[in-house]
Amino acid sequence: MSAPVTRSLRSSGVGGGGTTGWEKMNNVPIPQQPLLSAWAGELGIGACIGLIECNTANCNLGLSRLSYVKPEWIDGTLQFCVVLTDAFNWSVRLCECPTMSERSVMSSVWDFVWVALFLAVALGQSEDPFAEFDTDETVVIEPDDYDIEVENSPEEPVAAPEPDSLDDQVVIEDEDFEGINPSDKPPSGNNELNIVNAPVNMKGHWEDYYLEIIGLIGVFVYALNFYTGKSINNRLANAWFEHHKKLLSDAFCIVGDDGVSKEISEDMLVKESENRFVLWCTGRLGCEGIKIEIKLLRRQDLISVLSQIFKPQSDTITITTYLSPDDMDSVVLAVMPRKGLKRLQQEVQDLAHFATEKKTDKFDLPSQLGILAEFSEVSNEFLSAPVCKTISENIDVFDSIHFSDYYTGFKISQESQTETERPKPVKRLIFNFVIPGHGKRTKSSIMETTEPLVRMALHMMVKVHKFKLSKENKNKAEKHRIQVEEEYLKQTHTQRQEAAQARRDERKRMEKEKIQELDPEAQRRYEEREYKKSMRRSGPRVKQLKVKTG
Amino acid sequence: MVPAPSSNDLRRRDRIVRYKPYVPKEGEDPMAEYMNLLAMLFSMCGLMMRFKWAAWAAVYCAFIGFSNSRSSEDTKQIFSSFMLSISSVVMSYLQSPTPMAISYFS
Repeated sequence: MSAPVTRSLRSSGVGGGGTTGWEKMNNVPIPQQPLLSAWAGELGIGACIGLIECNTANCNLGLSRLSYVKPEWIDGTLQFCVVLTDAFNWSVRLCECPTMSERSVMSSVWDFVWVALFLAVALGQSEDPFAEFDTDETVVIEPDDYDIEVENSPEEPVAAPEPDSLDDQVVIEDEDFEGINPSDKPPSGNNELNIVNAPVNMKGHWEDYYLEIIGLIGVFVYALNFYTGKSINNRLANAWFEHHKKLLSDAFCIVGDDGVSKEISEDMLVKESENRFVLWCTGRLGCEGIKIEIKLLRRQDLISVLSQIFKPQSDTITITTYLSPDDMDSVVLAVMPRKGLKRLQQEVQDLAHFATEKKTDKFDLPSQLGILAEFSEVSNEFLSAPVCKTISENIDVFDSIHFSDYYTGFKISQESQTETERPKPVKRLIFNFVIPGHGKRTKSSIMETTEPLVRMALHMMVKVHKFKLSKENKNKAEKHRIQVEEEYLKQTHTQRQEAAQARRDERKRMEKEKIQELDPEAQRRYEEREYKKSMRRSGPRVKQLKVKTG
Repeated sequence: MVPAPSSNDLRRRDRIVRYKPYVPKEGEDPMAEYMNLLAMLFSMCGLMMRFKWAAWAAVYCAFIGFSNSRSSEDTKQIFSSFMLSISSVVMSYLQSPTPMAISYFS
């Protein structure tokens, strides 16, 4: 060719101690991909390996970057040339990045794996050529047949190889391949250049970062939704509080105690999370206090907002009344939608033990509601006409009520029963209300819809305080409770025994281990002592025998 | 309408009981905890294995964990998962500034 291309590829050995590395290599024009393909395709695998090693040794470039190579490029001998090209692009680029000098252990491991893999593949194809290429040597490639002339670089002249220095410096010429059997050459070689599409250097094309851009937009949208959702929830909770404040402060001495400050605080709506608010009211006859939980939708979480489209849920208000033992007689009553009635009756412990389903005919209640009660007397007393009317009028807001003097929560599953004990029975009145609109209408005024039902709850608290069960039913109720208690004790008795036995065994095992550490004399003394102890335990019988024999 | 609670004032100063802040039981609404854990795992994957998608997933998990956390929860944990996930993104792009490839997912 009239214009020969001049290249120098110099390797300094692993660690790059001797020569300058890629700072100098960078001054060398980057070989063109077709050219590299030509070298690799023509000079054989050895040259390729030399180049790969040259890369890794000089620039500390992670061969993990070679994972960039797509499987389809790996094709016979040319895979190396592609790998090579890729490595070149990478090396040049990464050298510009100052942090690349600090390479992690992991990338070193990957380098090792990749080098090992390529060596294994190369060795599998041709064994002989590798012996001629040493990583500590200068490699000068002169493939004259293809008009490619490799000479010394201007920055770092490479001395012409002398015959006596062949051990250190190897000049690869076509004669070096004389010994190679033509069958060792790749099938695709055949004196034809096979140019393969090498991976494109993405540098400078921001369009290629479209996934990152989508990711950043996603983060931004999430953050935006977080702030708007959070402010909507705050607004709704405050609107509820502001609207019911007057009603509650007429009924309680303290409205809104946070339980944290030294002095009793007021007007504090405790924020448990971005969508849960709690209001504690206390100082009233007939109860210790009421806990009003405003459970709003997770509007601050984009995932929940999206799931709301497929599975609409509603904001709820739960009013739990904490009663002291004297504030309530034996009452178990629940009014809840028929839909989940059976399931709840099985899952909620006090309903499962005491309550039975009552007919709703005599009550003026909407048909979708069912009643569970221990005695008809209880349901008749509490579900008076005004109460039924309030519920019917606000059926879209009403969810359920549950009164219990033996509230222990949900049944504990069999697996976890061994670990957690049943909570102590307490007296509770629980009112559940739903904010209508399935969270679609987020206007503050919607929170006012619960007011009639909150009034009803306050009214029922007074009723519960005044209510006394008839003597006959009271006896029955007490019997029921004793029975349940006994059943529970029986159930836990075996568990307790097992636990005690396990503790005893553990203690014995520990003692044995301790004795084994002692010397034989101490062990003997211990055994004697133990024997005496056991004799003493069965002492009285022995004494009796003595008396008889004596 | 239900009559207003008795015309007599039922408020009693002697019956004031302080509020006991609710302590969430174990296993109750574990969304935030799971998300924090996932954020840690993904950022570890991102840092160790150079998976860019894992680093991004860690950022998202940290966000979801943060928005679902309770006020009473330890903010240090949330903060650390945030920092870890962001650092895994930064580190993976410092190490190799190429764009994330779809083929990584396959």
